[in-house]
Amino acid sequence: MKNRMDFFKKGKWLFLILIALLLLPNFLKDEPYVLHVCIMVFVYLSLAQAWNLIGGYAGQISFANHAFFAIGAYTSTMLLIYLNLTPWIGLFAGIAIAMCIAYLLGSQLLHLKGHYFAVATIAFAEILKLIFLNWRGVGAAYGLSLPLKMPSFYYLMWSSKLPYYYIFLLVAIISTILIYTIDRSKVGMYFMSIKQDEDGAEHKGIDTSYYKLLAFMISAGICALVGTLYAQYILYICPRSCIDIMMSTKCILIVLFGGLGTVAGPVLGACILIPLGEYTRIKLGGGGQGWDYIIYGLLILVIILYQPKGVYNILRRYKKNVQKMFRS
Amino acid sequence: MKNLKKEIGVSIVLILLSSVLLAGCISEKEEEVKEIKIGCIWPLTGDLAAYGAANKRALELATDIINNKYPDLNLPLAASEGLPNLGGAKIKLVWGDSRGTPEEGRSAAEYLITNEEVIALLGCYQSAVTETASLPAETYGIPFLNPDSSSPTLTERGYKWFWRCTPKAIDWTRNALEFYTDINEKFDANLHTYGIFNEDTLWGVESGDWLEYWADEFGFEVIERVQYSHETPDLSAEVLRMKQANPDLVHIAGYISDSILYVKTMKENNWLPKMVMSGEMIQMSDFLDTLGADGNYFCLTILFPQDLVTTKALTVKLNEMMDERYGKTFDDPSARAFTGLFVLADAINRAGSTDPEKINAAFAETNIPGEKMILPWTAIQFDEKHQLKAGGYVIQQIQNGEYYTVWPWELATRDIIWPMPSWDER
Amino acid sequence: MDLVYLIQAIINGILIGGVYALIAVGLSLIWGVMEIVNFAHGDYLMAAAFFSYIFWLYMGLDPLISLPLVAIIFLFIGFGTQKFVMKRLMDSPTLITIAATFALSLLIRYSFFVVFKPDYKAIRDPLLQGSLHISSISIPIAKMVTLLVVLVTVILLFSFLKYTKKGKAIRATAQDREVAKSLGVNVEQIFLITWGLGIACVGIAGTMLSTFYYVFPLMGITFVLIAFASVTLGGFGSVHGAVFGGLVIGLIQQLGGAFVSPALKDVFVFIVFILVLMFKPMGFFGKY
Repeated sequence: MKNRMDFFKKGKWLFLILIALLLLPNFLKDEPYVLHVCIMVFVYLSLAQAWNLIGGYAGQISFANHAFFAIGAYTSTMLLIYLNLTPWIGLFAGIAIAMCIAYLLGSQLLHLKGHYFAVATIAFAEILKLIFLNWRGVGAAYGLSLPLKMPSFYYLMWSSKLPYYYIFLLVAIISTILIYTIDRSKVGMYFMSIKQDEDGAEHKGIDTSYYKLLAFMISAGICALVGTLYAQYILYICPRSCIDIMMSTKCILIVLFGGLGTVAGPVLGACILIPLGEYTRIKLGGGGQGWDYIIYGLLILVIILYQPKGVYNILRRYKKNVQKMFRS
Repeated sequence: MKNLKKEIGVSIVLILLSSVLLAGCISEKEEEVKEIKIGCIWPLTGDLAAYGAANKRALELATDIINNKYPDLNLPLAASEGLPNLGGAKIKLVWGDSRGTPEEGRSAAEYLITNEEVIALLGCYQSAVTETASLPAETYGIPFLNPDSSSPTLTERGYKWFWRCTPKAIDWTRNALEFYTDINEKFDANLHTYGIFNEDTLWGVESGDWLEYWADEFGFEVIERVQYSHETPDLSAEVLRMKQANPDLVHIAGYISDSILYVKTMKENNWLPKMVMSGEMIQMSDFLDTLGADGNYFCLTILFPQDLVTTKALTVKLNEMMDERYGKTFDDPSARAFTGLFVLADAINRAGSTDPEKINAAFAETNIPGEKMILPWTAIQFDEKHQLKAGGYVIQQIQNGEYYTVWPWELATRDIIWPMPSWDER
Repeated sequence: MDLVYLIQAIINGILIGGVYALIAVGLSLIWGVMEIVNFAHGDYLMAAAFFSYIFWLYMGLDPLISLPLVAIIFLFIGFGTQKFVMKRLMDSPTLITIAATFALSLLIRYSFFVVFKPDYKAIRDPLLQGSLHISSISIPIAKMVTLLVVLVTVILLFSFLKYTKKGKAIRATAQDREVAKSLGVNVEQIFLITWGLGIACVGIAGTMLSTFYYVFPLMGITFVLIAFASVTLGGFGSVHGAVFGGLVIGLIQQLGGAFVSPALKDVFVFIVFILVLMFKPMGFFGKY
């Protein structure tokens, strides 16, 4: 009984928030910039959930998120430009290729511990960037300009930001639900025990290689999906802007800030850090001048030093304390 | 029940918090003022910020001239206060920082269009940034004038709202090869092999491609082409490679800091081909400040040759004004940005309105004569692809720490020193 | 194949490798003793280069002269980092320490960015100028002296670690923290000293770098990745491993650039890096 009541309570709130999010764009029709910020929040939310899966749950610190993002973006864009293929199909191709590469990469590197793995993924992403920069076939440094076909559902391209808002919101919801499902499932439990103590998990009979690889592949798939959609939004991709390690870094910072290995953590992190960054960039001196990164750095240090479990934990404790206060 | 209330409380606080943060991004709507807002997008931060800073100075000066009475300056709209056909409305510049990346450039463009409601955009120096920043302009129907990016692709896209009042890479690369052909004739130099260093963004790659194209057309052979990243800390491998190939001529399609590093590295390796040419970026003061006498004898393709334009009274006057106010004079990129604002203001004025369609139409009729600009061109007119019609490059050479025009021969203020003396000979 | 070309490429590799080696040494020490990957290492390098630049700009001190000063300043900066930031994170999971050093990296890098703007600065007319020319081989003097400084520093560090009591204590802690503690080692102090030494190394590297390279706030990014590759190749915790790693990486980079393509010179570094991780993750001299 109690469980169902809890779920109903929580569910009610989630439902209300969802309605609010669905209606929000109508009030923001004249504020495309705010819509853009919302879209960026959804983008990073999804990417952060993807990272949460491999890093927060399975405990493998990957810096390859942005590489898979780029693989998704490039795959679907190439298919669009050269085969006139709708991105709705292109995105599956992107996901498939990203997952294949994740499989190949992961099977070779996932046995590495902690920072070794982290650094290896950084190296992989850099290699990818350098190859793309020099490979004429994918546009090299010219990048790829998407042919302008808006408005078109078939080509996933619009002049207005509204459709993109809803699409990215959907992706954000899907990734969060995915993480939620995993969090509550046996697989999620396996991930977490691997994170806690990998050798112990092996001894308990959990096939750690399999599960780590699984997390890595799913994570890559989500990133590729976001990549494809983002290319459709931004209409121009090039190695320097697409394969940027700051993207992966931001994901990690978002998850850490919000709460590692929780469902709500990345949501909180993205909702706070992304608008904060944008806001700082606009308000502080003709374009930011790096203040947004300084603020990120400070926030992260503060969170790590004082509440490493993230903002979500702060809120939970607040709630508990308040409840305690009322009981006593 | 009490728990529920607390949950409500916390959720509301959370939602409020996010909304407040989001709302911070919504700018306050200003009241309608009699001003013409123009969005300017350049790298104000990032490693190319020096260009942004120079352009900012130039544009502030231009704005001042347009908005106030300067009857003795023969520039469009200088004699009047503001734009006469719009009741004296004044230009207001609104700045966006591209941070030197295409993404930020595009973000800045969108923000300027949607939040600041600028009626036109100006920018962005780097071709890759101009490419993406012009996308929102095209989508929202806002005129975008580009005074300083040379990638030919920009006007090949067939955009309706994009205009470019600077020559393309096709032109300066061609001028460079014409120059070498003339050298061959004049000095019986027998130049044949060509080497290219190009940086790895849109600009560098396209420049390299066009150099190859024209080299081929003019009968030269490109024997080595090295692509590099302009952030790389060390160019030894690149220079070694080129030294090994040992072409007669080398071209550096890069930015200021890599150009400087190349010169230093070439000196370290005690190697120089018969001529090294670069672009207008080595006109920036950093080049000679850092290299001193080592910078001598390098050639550059340039649109704003200081020595030629100082024969133009207008330019002398404006250089003085710049120097007075900022302690710096015009360089090539800022001179073009400066001119860009006048072209834009002129079009808006002729349109007589802030209606984008009218302004866009007015662009097509642009015809600013040579004597009304600080650049040494014959006129500013646009062709059917929205590309500047005239405007040629000259070649300068650095001699004794000064920049002298050496080609075309009829415009030269000094004779070229040919070939470049090697490091030992200096 | 041209012998001169090969020799020049090798020399270039060793010269730049020296710089990578010194950066790697500091990183390796911190990594080895405390299992902390200092993502901010490149930004400390940048800060050191800036200090050197500032001493030149305002006090006219050539980097060679300000070298000991910068080294000592950075020794204390290293102490400070441990004492005020990393101390509380000593037993945290890897991700937390990575994030902490990342946050430091952002703070350092963008503070300099805000103050100094992103312009490229260079020290003009340093004491170390010009090149040595031996037939057609060129050896830039600044880089050559840098290599010497690197060697001296490494030898000093190595001797310290091998022969002094504190040095042995550091090695003991790196091997097994608990055992060291039980033997009476003041582990807290060891951490302080290690950070100090590690950052002092990077301080020296940064100063020497400013004699022949640009100083600008974003310069750390390029160096830190190569430093990681060097440390991994050499094996973490090992000083001579880091030197080996740095030199080898320098060689790979320059030889790859010279014989295949300069555009891909870093690709070779990263590929070797990944291969090492896959097949010999402890590196060639790693102990742990």
